[in-house]
Amino acid sequence: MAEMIKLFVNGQEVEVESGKNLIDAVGAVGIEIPHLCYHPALGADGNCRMCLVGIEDGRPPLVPACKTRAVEGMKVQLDTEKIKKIQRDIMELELINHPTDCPVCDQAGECQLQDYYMQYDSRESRMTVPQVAKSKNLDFGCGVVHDQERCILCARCVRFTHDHQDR
Amino acid sequence: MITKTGELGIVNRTDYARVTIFPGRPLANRYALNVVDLCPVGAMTSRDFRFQQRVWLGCLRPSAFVPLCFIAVLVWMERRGAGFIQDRSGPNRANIFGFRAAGLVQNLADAVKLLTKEDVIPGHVRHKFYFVLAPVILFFVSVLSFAAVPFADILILDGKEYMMQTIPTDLGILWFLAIVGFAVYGIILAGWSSHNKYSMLGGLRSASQVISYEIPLALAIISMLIVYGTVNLTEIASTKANCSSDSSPCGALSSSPWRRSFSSSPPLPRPTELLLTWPKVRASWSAGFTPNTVP
Repeated sequence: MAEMIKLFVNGQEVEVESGKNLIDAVGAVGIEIPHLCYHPALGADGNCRMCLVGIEDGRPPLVPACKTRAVEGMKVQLDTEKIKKIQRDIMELELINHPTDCPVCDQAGECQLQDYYMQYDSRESRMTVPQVAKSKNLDFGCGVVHDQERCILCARCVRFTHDHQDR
Repeated sequence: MITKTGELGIVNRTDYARVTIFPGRPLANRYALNVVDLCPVGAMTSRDFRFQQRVWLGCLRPSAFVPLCFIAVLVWMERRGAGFIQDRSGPNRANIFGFRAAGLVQNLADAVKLLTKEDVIPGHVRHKFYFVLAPVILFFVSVLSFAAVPFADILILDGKEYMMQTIPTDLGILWFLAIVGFAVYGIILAGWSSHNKYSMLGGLRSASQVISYEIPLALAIISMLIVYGTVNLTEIASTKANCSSDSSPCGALSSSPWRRSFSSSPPLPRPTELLLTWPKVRASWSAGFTPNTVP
């Protein structure tokens, strides 16, 4: 059993395991921090910015939760207007070129982007320019077919096939 | 976990950034399909899965109807087949406007009769739950072991594949043994819950019969394992299909060396019991179950 530390999420005191990053530590007690590129098996990358959280009295005040270790007495803010606006804006950026494939997409129903859109964004697109067209049917071999338009560039697959990872 | 093969990369910038492979260097590692699961959106798809299935429908297959369709065939075979073997014509009067459909109309009459039949639970039965549970156990054991039987090769209609096997499990024979072993619980439970010393004796007799039949069954199955070297029923069936000297449905059993040396032993007790138990259990749904009806 790892050593337990106490920290505050949205002003509420929670007891979490030490040595973990914020997403895993706080996720273990049932508080979800949205994240797209982070995966426990692949480690933190920090490219999607979806997991940005505020640290009260912290330097810097905004940190990616996947790259931040949980420490004693940390005051994490998840529900401030600023964080909500960041999450909304990140979703809007992700969806600029994302096709509306959901009715025919295999991932629909268990798609993190879909879930987060419903949870954190739920707005109409403001885009007036046509979306960038990319390849819809790229055969990567080994039975893997890639749809570049649906890709949100979280780089999980790229990190999976590379050895350099920085946790 | 990380494959260190480095086939994938991100090229270009901003809106034009995309994940791609190096030209002429496709994914080539045993874990490549993991990227399909890793992808949080639907960008990585598996060729076999693409547009074919929803994840949450993965457990449902159209072939689930295969054993259900067999109800009609089995009822007909029990009625007319048994009649044929016993040199009588079997039910041959039921008709719709004079059409008897080779006795198949009798199935409809049977279904109506079974659905409207009075469900008799004798007053002296103390544990009505177990009394009802016993035939339910036998029913599910029959259906579950039946479901693992590959009735035919994969049927292709309009490019869609239909598997003629409800539960395409690699366990094969092991699944069959594991499930069929539970049948004895249904029999013992029926004998005991009938709360009647003769039912109890009948249940014990049937249970000991079922258990003792497992010895020749095990010998027959060991011989199959020796001959085919696999427990996968589909592989056994396809091996049989490629062997022209042996085309009978029970060929896997009849051609095995052990089966030949045991030609005087009761013919394949458990599989036949399985088929015979099925209509009996069906009848016992509404008739009330007595162990003596089990062969």
